[in-house]
Amino acid sequence: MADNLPVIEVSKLSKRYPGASNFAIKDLNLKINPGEVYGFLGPNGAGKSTTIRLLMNFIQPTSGGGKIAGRDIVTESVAIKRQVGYLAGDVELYPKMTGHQFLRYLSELQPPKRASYQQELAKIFQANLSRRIDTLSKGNRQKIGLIQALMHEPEVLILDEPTGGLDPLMQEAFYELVKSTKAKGTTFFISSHNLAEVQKMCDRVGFIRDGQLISEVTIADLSKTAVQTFDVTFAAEAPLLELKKLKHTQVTSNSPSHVSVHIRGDLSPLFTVLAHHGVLSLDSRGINLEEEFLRFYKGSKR
Amino acid sequence: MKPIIKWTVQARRLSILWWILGIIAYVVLELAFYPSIRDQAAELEKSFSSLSDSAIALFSDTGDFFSPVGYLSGQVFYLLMPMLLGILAIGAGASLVGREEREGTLELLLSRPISRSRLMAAKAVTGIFIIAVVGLVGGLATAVMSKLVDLPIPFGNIMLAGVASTVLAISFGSVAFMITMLGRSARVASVGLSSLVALAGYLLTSLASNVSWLSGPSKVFPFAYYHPAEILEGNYNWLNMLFIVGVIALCGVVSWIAFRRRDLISS
Repeated sequence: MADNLPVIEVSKLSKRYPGASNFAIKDLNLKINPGEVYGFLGPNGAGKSTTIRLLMNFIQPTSGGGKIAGRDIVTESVAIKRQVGYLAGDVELYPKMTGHQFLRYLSELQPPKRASYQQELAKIFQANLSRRIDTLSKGNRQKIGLIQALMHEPEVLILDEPTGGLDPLMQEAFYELVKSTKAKGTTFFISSHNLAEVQKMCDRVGFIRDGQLISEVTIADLSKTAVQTFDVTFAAEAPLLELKKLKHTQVTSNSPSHVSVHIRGDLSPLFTVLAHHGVLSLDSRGINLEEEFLRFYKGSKR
Repeated sequence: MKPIIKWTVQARRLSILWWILGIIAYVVLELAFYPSIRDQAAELEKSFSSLSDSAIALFSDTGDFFSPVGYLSGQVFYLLMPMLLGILAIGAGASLVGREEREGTLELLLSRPISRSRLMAAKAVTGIFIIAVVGLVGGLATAVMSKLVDLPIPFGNIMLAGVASTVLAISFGSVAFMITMLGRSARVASVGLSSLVALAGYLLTSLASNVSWLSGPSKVFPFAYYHPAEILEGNYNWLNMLFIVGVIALCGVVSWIAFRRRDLISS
């Protein structure tokens, strides 16, 4: 795989299901670079899973196409899958098999590079592989789903809602694993509803609505342009006039001495104002990716 | 292909075992009564002579229930063996890929570096293997029981009749398999349509001996080319089997064309 070429490249990809009047995906263009963790965000029915199923050649494009690792997603799908790990949104496993049997089956279909890696993953996720899958909770089935996607150490990982059902501890374990796997050069394409996890894991985020990519932004850029909220308690009356004069700022007065300041971009003007007044407390709510996300879906422009 | 065959057979091993036990039990029960029936053949022949030709044709391809060949064909190979194996084959044909697709595990298999053609071939081979095992055990059980109850029919001919009913059943299963491979709207009809092919073939072929105009339509169904009494007598024209094998091959080709580029149904 050439370092300078996108690992995943999608061009004018469209999908209309038979009998449907609207396109599930319309003229989608994506470029995901080697070693990048790309978050694919959108509400239910936006086209996230359709995009993933097109990339995996489970469904056929109506028009347009794409490449993974330089190979065509339709005609070279088998070769692509030698380099791809996949996790479906609703993990469906063989209920009557144990975790061990299930992973052995998939290992026979695609032998892993290192036999020991499966055990390492099982340890990381504290997965019980001895029990029958139909006796496991959703979270434990999800762990097995993640292990099967990762165990052959693919160069590209396409994961649809990977942390669904995982408890917070396991979610953290997964984020750490993404970080260490990314460090080895693996590229991730992750669809998610969980905005906080996208913020933690991803380098870049694409927002999809009604089958169309409406915006792509790096997490770094998002941080620069996103609205941050500060709750400020002043020793005296809040300097509302001064705060309202600041650019890209909205101020909500909660009480005479307490305000919430929503500010986009550079924070230094805000702190200049605060420095001239007695401040008793200052709480930052951080970047609210969810607000950013909703802003896109409400159709507002950045 | 091997892992898919191995694990699919393993997942169905209990069901295969029950089918084997069931078919052995059925053959043993049917043939255990032969000595007493043989002894009363003359009286029973008289009672059966009052039946209409059409009724007799539904249960026998010889019209004779009490000769060794007539008994074995009528009791085992003409109707019940193809019917039992047909049920197994249609169930397997409709579910080998259909259930995996419905339950979402097909995507899991296809997320590995396996082409759809290979996956389809692996599933088809698995289905043929399962039906062949049960069918051959049925044939073997019939041959052994025939020896035990002194049915004077060559062992080899009985085994060949078992093979022929297995191939016929596989043709029913391949129709179910093909319909399943066409996709969502066709899949729901796979068991019904393939059962219809089996049943209509049996009825039309049976009745065609007495209703001449049914002879033409019956020729489009595999059952019309299956004559177990002739196989047991050793005078079957095996070119007939080419039609049944042709149906299986045609279903395979249509399945492949339909499945290689169609949308998988999400679970």
